[in-house]
Amino acid sequence: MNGRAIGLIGRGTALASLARAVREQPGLRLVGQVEPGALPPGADVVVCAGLYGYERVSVAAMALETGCRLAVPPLPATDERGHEALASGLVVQVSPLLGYAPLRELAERVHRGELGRRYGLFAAYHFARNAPTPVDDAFADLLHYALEALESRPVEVYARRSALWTQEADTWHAILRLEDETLVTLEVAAALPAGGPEPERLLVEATGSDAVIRAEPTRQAVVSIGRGGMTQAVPWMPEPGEGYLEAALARLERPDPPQELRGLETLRALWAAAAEGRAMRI
Amino acid sequence: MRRLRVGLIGTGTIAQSAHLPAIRRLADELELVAVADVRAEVAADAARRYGAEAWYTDYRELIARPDIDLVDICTPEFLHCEQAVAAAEAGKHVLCEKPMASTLEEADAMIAAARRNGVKLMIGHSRRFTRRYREVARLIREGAVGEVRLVRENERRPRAMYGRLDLPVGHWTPEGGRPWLASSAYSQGAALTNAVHETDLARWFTGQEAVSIYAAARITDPAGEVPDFLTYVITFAGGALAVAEIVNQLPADYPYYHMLEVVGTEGLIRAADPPMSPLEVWRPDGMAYPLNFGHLLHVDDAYRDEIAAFVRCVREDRDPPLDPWDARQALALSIAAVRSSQLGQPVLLASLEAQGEGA
Repeated sequence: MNGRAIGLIGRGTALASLARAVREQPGLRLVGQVEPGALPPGADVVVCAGLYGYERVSVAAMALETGCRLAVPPLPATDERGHEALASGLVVQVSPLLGYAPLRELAERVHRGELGRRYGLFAAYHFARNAPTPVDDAFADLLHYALEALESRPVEVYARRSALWTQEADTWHAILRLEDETLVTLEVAAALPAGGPEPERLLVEATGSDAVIRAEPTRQAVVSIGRGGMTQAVPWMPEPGEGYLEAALARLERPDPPQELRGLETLRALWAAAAEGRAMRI
Repeated sequence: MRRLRVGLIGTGTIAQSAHLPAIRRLADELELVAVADVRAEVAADAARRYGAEAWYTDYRELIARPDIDLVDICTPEFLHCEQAVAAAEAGKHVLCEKPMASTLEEADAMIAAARRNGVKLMIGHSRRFTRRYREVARLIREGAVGEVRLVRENERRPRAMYGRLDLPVGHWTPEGGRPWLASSAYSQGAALTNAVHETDLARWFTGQEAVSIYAAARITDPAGEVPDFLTYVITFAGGALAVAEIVNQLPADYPYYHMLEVVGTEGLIRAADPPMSPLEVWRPDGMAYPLNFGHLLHVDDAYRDEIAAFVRCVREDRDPPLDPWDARQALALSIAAVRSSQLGQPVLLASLEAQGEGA
């Protein structure tokens, strides 16, 4: 059978959506999907979805050891294994948030210069307090998305990593000044009440002299208010796997290790800022 | 019941768009006696439009009138202390626009002057009298969301926002200079101009005092000298956080709006202006929101309620509904935001106080 051989690593709905996207895309062939800990055999490239942060690091290290080309959600930790994997060019990072069509569109419009003089980018990513998503992983995803959308190097960062609703860290706030003076404000919080009508909420707003581009992908919903409370569904939005797969394959075609390492360096500075309670120069 | 007699100082944009119309609506309780503005034609025009019997270019002449009970100060903040203290020393009750002053020393002097002279002093933080924020405060007070842990309000303003209101006057502009709001000689920028609303809301809704603030700012207006873009994180003594991103130079047709989110231990509250405003106009060259500014800020009676509340406290000899100390603390946070953005590091509020504003 012809076609590029794609292997998948992951679990849950993110993996299922990604697998559907591979099957439906002409020219691709799904050769296997496995849980973290192994590599699918016979794959030209491997794409990961639905992994916890520590798993992202371990599959990246595994790819480095075996020479496998792999796309993984952003690494939330900054250890040496991750650094080596990204430096090799074999491993690329892709934010799962690129699965949202409005966020891809926002990034593309920013790239096209629609903002005019760029002022800032504000992004808030909230999810349920009992969601399995670790806040550090979600922060890495949002940070990676923001830096990719803006394509400018951070020069100064500040961060707070707080426990606002539980005993564990459940919130990140970060402010980044980029080389071109754009100010980025990121808020990631397990803030939504457990069992509430919204499983997650995303708002990204880019501001500039000529335009404001705002994406709220989780608000494009059918809302139902009834005896059982409020529910919402997003039945017509493209499956997140499609956009994520497209971004992963594009990145694997043109790996950019210096860019990947700059992202890791930014993450390291943010962790240091959060630990020390002061802003960090990069 | 005798109407209280009011003199208004500074007949610029906030007076013409908010205070003077509100005073007119309170005609059963207030009589506008005199106005003052350094621009003679502006003062005369305001007096004619709003029925004041006298106008002055020197505010001291207004304050010297024995028949004025209450002075409403609508000048830029660098003038507030001098004018408020003078009014208090003359025995006038003082309602003063936000931000309270340019420095904490000035704010403290205003409070001391009011106490010394036994007059009421209230700072016009209009959002304390805006219905949606009062409703948010009521919900918090009643425990609807448990303990508040996170407050975020982003504010968006189009450039030349007040131009939409078709006012007879613009911001005061020194001869040969730029409007005072954009001039480093007179303004400290967005942190005081409008973020003082957000710093006040953060204290109001968390019910806590701030420990520190980290802020980053920039100048986006090519003709500006002071930051018009501000983003910050405040840490409160009880562990709550407040964040805000203030953007003041958006495209001219963009709607003015706010996005508030309050997250507590038991739930959350959102109070966002509808981004598209109550009236949308789609044109070949884009969208317009002609009623946006007037609708959101002024037609909701906030200024009328603010002035009416102050009049009641004067008549009934009660404390003002907004203690000047609260306005002073909101100012402290805004000044700390300025310092933080200059230093590139977080600023402790305690150090600001200890160092005489933490220079």
